[in-house]
Amino acid sequence: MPEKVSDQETQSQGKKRKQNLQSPRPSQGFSQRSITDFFGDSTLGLDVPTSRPSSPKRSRKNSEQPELPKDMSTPLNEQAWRRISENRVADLNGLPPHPRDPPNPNTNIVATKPPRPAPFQPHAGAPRKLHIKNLRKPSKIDPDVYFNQTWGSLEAALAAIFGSRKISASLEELYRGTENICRADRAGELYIRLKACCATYVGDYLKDSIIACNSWKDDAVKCVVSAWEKWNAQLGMIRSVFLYLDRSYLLNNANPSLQPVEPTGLELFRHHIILAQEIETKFMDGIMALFERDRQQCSIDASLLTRAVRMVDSLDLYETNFEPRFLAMSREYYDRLGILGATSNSLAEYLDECSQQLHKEALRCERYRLDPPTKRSMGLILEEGLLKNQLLILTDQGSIEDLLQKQDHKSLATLYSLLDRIGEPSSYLRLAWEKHILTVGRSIIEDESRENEMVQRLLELKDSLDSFVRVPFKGDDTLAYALRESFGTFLNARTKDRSEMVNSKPAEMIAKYVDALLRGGAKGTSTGTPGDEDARLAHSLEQVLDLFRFIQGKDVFEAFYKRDLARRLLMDRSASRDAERSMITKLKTECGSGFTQNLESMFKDIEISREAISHFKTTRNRAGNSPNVDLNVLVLSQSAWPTYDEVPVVIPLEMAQYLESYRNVYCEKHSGRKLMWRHALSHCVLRARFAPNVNKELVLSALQAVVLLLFNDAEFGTYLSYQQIKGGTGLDDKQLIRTLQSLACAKYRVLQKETKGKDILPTDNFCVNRHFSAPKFRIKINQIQLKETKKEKEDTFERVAQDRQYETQAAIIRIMKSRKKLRHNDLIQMTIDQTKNRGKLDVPEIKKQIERLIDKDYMERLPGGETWYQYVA
Amino acid sequence: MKVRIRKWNAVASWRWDVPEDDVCGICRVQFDGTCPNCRFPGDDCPLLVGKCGHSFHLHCVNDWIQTESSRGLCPMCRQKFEFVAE
Ligand SMILES: [Zn+2]
Ligand SMILES: [Zn+2]
Ligand SMILES: [Zn+2]
Repeated sequence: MPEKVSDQETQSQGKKRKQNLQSPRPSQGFSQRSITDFFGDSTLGLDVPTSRPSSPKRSRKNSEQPELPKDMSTPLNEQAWRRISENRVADLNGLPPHPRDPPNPNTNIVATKPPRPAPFQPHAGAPRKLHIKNLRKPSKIDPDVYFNQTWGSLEAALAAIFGSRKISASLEELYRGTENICRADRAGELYIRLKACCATYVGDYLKDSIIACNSWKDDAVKCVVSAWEKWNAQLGMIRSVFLYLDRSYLLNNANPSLQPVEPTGLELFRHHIILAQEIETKFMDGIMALFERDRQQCSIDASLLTRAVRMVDSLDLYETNFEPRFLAMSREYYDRLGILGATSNSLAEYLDECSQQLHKEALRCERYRLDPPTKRSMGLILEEGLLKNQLLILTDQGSIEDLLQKQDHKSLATLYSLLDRIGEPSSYLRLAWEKHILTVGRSIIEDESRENEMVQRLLELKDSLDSFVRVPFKGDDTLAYALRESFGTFLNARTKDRSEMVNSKPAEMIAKYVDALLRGGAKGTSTGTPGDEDARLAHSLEQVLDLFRFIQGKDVFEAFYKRDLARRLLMDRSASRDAERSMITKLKTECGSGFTQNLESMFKDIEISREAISHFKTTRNRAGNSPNVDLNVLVLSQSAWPTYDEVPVVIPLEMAQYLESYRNVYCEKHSGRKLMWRHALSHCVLRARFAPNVNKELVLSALQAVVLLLFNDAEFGTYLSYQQIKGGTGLDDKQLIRTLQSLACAKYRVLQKETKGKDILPTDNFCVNRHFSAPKFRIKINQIQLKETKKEKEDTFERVAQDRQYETQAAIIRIMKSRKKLRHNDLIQMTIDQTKNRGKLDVPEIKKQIERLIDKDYMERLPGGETWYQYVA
Repeated sequence: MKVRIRKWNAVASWRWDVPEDDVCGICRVQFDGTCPNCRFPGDDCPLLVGKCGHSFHLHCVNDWIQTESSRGLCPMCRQKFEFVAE
């Protein structure tokens, strides 16, 4: 490629010159072969190597692709040449004719041919004459004299070039002189003289001018680079003059000591100037200082530095003199920077600094055209100095936790990608990451004062942790795994007080949260999410299920979920049937169909009850003796629903009779069944008139209603004593106190207690609150039924514990039955495996159950050192 | 004061009219639950009361009678199994 380009260049140069040469001198005889022919016509036999001397370009020992030679002197060379050739027309008279045929310098083949070359016509036209003349003889000038004479004008030209003066002789003339000398076989001599002349100039004059330069002391780089550029320009002109020497003699010479003009000039500069001790050190130090100042963000002459690097490169000093020094200086600089930055800044600031330094240094390498290997080495140096050496500070647990705490995504992303340069980021981050999750998680779980917000906070935590993994940690698998592990760990940690039990609070609170969602009460975390109510609810449920999957004690969740579902169905508080159903489907996947079977049974009961009541009403209406009460009855299959305590209560006679008629119809239809009323679960709507124009519709529990109905027809101001109410309703003290409290001491006070105070005493008297008022017509006072009592909660836990024991025993029996004989540890492990998706069991708990089964003769302990068990059939 | 019942949402629960905690002599599940093959208690999985006084899940006793070794006897008392017609 470069050859071709330069070939075209020389041709175009030749054409230009031909125009100048042709007009004043008509073509005549043999002598009209001008210099231009050497450029324009390569058929003449002078095989001119057209590739230019390449500037010595660094080529690394191991580099696979040598870089293309870059010829810096071309523009100068061309300019100079053009300037000279345009101004002057070469005069060729008076010079000895040049030898025509290089292989035989004594003979000239002159072909007389028409001005325009004609195609070859072997049998047509006039015969051509071939004149062969010996050109030595007519030459009257002695070769030595000619050589000295010509050298004299060449030397004068060189002096003019060195002195930046105009060359007095024509360039054409000088060129021709060189050509003649070369043709006379004295090229070697000419080269030695030329080289010596240049060496004197470079070694003495140019070097002195550098050191004598005003700014030498402060700005050695500038002095050297200026001299270098000046010399390059001069070298370009010298090359033009000695072009023939280059082409005919130097370029294809195998002798290594004979270099073309330009490389010779570069070598002289390299040897006499750059490698001179007094210059080299100062110059290189100057370059290093420029780099250092650039790093310190002081303004520097960036173009000067670029040129200096390019010069070093051209002189083949990059790898030997520049790079080692540059790398050593950089290493020291960044090691120092690492120590300084890491100890004086916060981790966030230091991370920012590191990433900026890495970025800037990469740009710097680009800007000053440093070699790719240098760039790679610089990467390693920065990693070493800023990262590896400061690893203790970079991976300080406290600082990382602090970043996590502050949700500093930017710094964490930087930290992750920096650590990624020097190793496996997760191996450095994992500990702090896990500790952070456990700390924050525990603080949420153990914060009893904000128990109601627990699930919401857990969801937010999960969300934020997920986003850490997704964004700054680039989806790191190890950290994602650690997240799940740690989340599970704190969610299933043992309680401090009941060390045998896994903390069941999260399971309970998650169940409560789901209940709130399904009642349409909780917002979920997806605030602002577009879409309809159902989609939002589905999304929130999906989120909380994600949390639920971490819970090992699924049985606790199930127990509470069942209770809450029952309450939603009984009180008709479900926000969406679809959501309920989709939740059941999801729970089936998570907990198995054994659990959801009961839940489905509950839904089925509601359905069957609806059909039954409509059947009952049609038959009753036909009989025409129904009281004016809208009756609804839910009949529960006892085994599917949570167990409820029986609450004895006296129902007003008319209502009791009505219910009894329902029971009769039911039992008639379903023989073999018994039907029991669950009045504590019933609720009703009462119309009450407090004053002539204060009519209200009250939604009450059946127990509240029974109490309030005692006041029917009572005059205002009539008091009923606690004991009277107790006798009239048949309620026990506990139920009665709770009910009276809800009627006389809560938000809506339909009854009035004679004495002030929140507590209900057996001595209290009650009357209707004649001043009762509320903005709405319909008032719900049965919240008391929706609230879970402390006892209910304890019962639920009790039942979970009992079920767990029962299931553990069943699992042990199943295992022993199939294995017959087992080692203690194997039995424990197999039991844990079999029951793990119900709730994680403790080893002491399993041991206790084994003891019980041994007591009950289901299995026995075999004698011997190691404990073995044997199944007893 | 005037109070009048407008609407009464009663809740009741049913169970089989057998002694509490009795289990089916065949599948050993409480009668309130279903036989092992059923999902919903009640009409879907009814009880059968034998003249001998032993009750079973209909599905359980059906399967039992159909086995050859049963010879049509109650699995509990080995009397001929006949159920009480409704
Ligand atoms: Zn059965
Ligand atoms: Zn069945
Ligand atoms: Zn029997």
